[in-house]
Amino acid sequence: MITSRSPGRKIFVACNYTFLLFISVLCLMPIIHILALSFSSGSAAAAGQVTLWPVDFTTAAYQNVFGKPEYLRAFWVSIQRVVLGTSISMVLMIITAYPLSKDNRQLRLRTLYAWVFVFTILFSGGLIPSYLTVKSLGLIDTLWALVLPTAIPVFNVILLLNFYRSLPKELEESARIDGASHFTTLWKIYVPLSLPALATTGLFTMVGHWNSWFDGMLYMNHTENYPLQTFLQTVIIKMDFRFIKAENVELLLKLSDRTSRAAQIFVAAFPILIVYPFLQRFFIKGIVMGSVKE
Amino acid sequence: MSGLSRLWKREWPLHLMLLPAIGLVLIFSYVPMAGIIMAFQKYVPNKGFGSPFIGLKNFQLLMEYPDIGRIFFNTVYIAVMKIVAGLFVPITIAILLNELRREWIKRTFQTLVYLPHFMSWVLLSGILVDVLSPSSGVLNQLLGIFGIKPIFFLGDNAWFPYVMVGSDVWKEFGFGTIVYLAALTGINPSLYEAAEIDGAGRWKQTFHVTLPGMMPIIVLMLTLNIGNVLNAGFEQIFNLYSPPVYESADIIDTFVYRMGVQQAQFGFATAVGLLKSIVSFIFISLSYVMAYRLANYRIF
Amino acid sequence: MKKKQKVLMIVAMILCLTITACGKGGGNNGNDASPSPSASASAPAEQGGQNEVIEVSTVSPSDQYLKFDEGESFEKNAVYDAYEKDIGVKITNKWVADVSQFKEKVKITIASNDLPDFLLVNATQLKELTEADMIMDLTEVYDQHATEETKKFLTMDGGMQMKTATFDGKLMGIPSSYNPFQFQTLFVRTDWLKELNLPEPKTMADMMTIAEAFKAKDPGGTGTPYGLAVSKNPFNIETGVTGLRAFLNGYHAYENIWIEDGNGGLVNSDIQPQVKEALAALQDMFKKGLIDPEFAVKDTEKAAELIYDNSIGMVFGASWTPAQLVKGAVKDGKVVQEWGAFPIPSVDSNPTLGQIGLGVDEYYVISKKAKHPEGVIRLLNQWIAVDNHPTDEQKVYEFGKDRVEKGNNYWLLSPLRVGKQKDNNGEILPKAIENKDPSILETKDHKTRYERAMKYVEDGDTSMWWEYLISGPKGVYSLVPEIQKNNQFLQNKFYGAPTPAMADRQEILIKKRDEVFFKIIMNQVSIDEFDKFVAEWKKLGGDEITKEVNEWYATHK
Repeated sequence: MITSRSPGRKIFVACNYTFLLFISVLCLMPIIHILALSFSSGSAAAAGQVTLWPVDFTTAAYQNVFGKPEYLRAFWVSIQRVVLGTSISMVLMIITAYPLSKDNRQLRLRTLYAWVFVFTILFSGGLIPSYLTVKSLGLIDTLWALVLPTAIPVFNVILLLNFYRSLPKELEESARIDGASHFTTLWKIYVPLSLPALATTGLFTMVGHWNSWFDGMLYMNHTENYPLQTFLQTVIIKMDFRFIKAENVELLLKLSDRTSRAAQIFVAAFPILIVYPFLQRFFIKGIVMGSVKE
Repeated sequence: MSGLSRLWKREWPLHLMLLPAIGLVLIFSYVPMAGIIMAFQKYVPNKGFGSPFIGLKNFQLLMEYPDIGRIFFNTVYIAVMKIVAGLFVPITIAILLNELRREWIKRTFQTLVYLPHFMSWVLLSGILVDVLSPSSGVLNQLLGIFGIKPIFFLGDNAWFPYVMVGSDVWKEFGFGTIVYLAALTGINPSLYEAAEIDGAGRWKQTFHVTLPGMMPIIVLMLTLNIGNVLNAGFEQIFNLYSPPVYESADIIDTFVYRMGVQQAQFGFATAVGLLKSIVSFIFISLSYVMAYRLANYRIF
Repeated sequence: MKKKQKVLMIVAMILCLTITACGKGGGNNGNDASPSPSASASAPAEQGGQNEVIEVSTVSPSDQYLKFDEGESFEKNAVYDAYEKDIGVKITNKWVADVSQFKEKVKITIASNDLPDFLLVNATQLKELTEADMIMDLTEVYDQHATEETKKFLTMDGGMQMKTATFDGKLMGIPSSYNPFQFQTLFVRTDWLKELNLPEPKTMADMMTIAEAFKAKDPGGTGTPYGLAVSKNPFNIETGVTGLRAFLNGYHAYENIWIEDGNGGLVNSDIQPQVKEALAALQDMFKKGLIDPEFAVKDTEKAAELIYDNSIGMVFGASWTPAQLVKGAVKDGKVVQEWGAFPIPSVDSNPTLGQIGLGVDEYYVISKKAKHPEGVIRLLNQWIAVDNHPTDEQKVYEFGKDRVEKGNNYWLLSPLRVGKQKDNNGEILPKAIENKDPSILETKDHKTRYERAMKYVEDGDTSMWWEYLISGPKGVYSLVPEIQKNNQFLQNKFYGAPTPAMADRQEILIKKRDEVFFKIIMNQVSIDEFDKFVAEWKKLGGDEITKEVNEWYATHK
């Protein structure tokens, strides 16, 4: 795909780079600001002196998080949750999207099935009934309470089924003629050819699991079982005047609501941020075509 | 009879594949849906779903609310703009990123624009107050260079909705780009080669190869987003609005939140939730049917 | 291509393995830690005689200020052991949630009808639980088991707080009481007053003069001076600093409370003509540039930036305001801003009545299913005893096993805590600190505050500067005795749970009020909009609420 480098093209490329650079800077500046906040002293942050560089550099906000014994435990709960939740969801997504990607002649009740799923993203019974369901299944205080209720990410299933459909029909037909079962076709043809789509939906599922904190609060009866995000909600330093004691005032001067929130974001986001660049390698062009030619 | 069993013989693996998901959805989504009944009840905890029925009183409370028209308008106005911009911007950026040759530069940009998704509105609202300040904000200082008088973006009803749309797009477009980038990988490279041989330039290729190739995903995303026509973004608006801009900023969710502070009842929130669900359902169904009729394409 | 596929396959296999592995770990998590309270509760102690240990379950907030000693936890700790040993009550937790999420979790616990033996709820929930018949009538059990000391302790205020927990003559909850006499004061930069040769603010007119001088002379030299710091929720009770409730009080106007109309009925304070006067004054200040034109979008922290950076030298605030001001006042160990606390000035010769609450907004309730309600009352008795006059032995309740202060805040472990409804900080502390005389100190609170203030006075520890401004000779507390002696305060005459019309209509009334008040202050509409607002307020449900409130008042006078 080498295009002749016409002058127009050159101008376009230059403009494109400039534009994307500008957009990236626009995205980066506030984050640098928040990063600077997280390394600044509470009073400097409170006085609004921090712009893009820490003022009165301190790591107090991070020490406040990392210094707690609960941190590692919560981190571990989150890892377990993400691994368990994402793998279950991925397996379910892969096998659920397959039949749904067929047309109605191949699977009679397909449309009905599809709507059964779509209906669940539209209607929900709300907090209390969900809580009662999880409770009556005895899942309170277990990892399953964080994993099973959201095990079918319907949005991702729909996304995936659309990607499945864009795969060339001939591939599947030839496999079926060779006597491959549905399961074999799915595993040998669909999955390897949908890597970009699987990476995308996998990322969405992972980010979803990693970022959600409310269900941790809802379903966990012991703070030891909080996942990271739920735990991080608890480390915001608020001015609480029941507790003003010498040692706490010192903490308040070093930290503030703002610095602790800023640090919270980086502590929370960092592990998931590095996942994305890793997954980007799966966004490969032309996998489908390559396999057809084989 | 035999037709049916033949059918079964052919289709059973497909049904089997759906079984676990259907089971989970039944337990964790359909069973709790019984709770929708609370919308019509005065919920008493120890009576559960056997609480006394109050008919449509919760809906009546909503509909008789003095500002309800305004609130619906604000919600739809902000939500629709977000849907449109949230579709257009990520697609554009995805196509522009796709034009980059060097893989590492592309990935760096991709990662940078994806970062804001992970920031919280609590913190971003503090930043926006600074950046948009009429006296000291960067934006107004820039506008000042062009002789434009300072604008109180967050305190002016004429500007507030657009600030919401702009800042939301800024926060989410990078994350939204991912799905389109994945869609771009599925486009057959030989189509570009063919177009080139036909003498099509980059512009033409974009319009005749790239966009049509992405179309199924675009239509899908549009349909699913249309379901959000009554979700204008609670976290964001709640952190940024204030009494002077209630007129243009108050949306259904902020209203339900304020009601919840006064009324410790689950019924009202459930009723509003049900209403929102029904509206989403209608919109999604309509676009589903339209896509099928017009393009003979089943979105899901 | 092949390689990618392999990678994916390996990843998938690892994931499958972890499913099984984690599954086990996850399933066990926590379960082993919590013995089912309901099962064990029924076992011991048939009648709960004094010698037998009875068990009561509750739910607890965990707090980041609470630091467990080695080997202790919510399941087992020195405080729970002490309760069990001293009064024979074994405490178990149905759940523990972080304090930031405690209230949300209580809501769910109530809605799912899963109450522990006793728990802390708010006024609305107290009413809801009473109506649903889920909690016990405590009249008898309290009468029988509460000690004389307890009964005296909880009626120090004349019995007002207990009254708020009484429905149809039945005591339905134990007020989680505290001292309601928390007055707002005006804080002014005294170094600027001196520099500009200004008088101390005695009247509202003085206050305006000061504000105008601060604006015109810009003593902080920032180029953006304003007169008074205000933030985006100025009328909200939760806005402890940068609010305007005290400003309204100076005009004899009050924020959303029910006051006597002079004919034996009650009226809402929001629609009284005094409010209009106060708003007119605020509008005037806004026009003169004495209020930050962007205040409407700034929360307390943002608004306070202007105080810290020397743009503003005047703010209304609660008694703990100095702990907020310290962020700007003390820099690199030096006091760079001097502040003084003054009573809220008045617009005329009548003294300002500070608007205060009732000192209770939460209650301990006992589930109807509780087997040992008397155990809860025993916890209450014991708490009052150990919190107010601990023996050496009983210091374990405050500090843990070793009975030494080390900042672990073990008192947070006591599951039922009530506070004093009155204190004499204002009489004792300023005197003690001025004369450096610790002999007159009485309570634990006195002692901690005295020690902190002394650190500033004697050791020059500027991080304790704020305590001196609260408790010192000219501090916030020193103003209190005068206010209390002359009854210069006003409490809400309506203390019932929200009426039906309130539940449905309060929101719109407050929304409309804030909208109109802000527009008036920001000079977007004329002050006469206030009259339109009053008419609208009545029409939108205000009249209905007033009727209900008066019906309530007729039976509670």
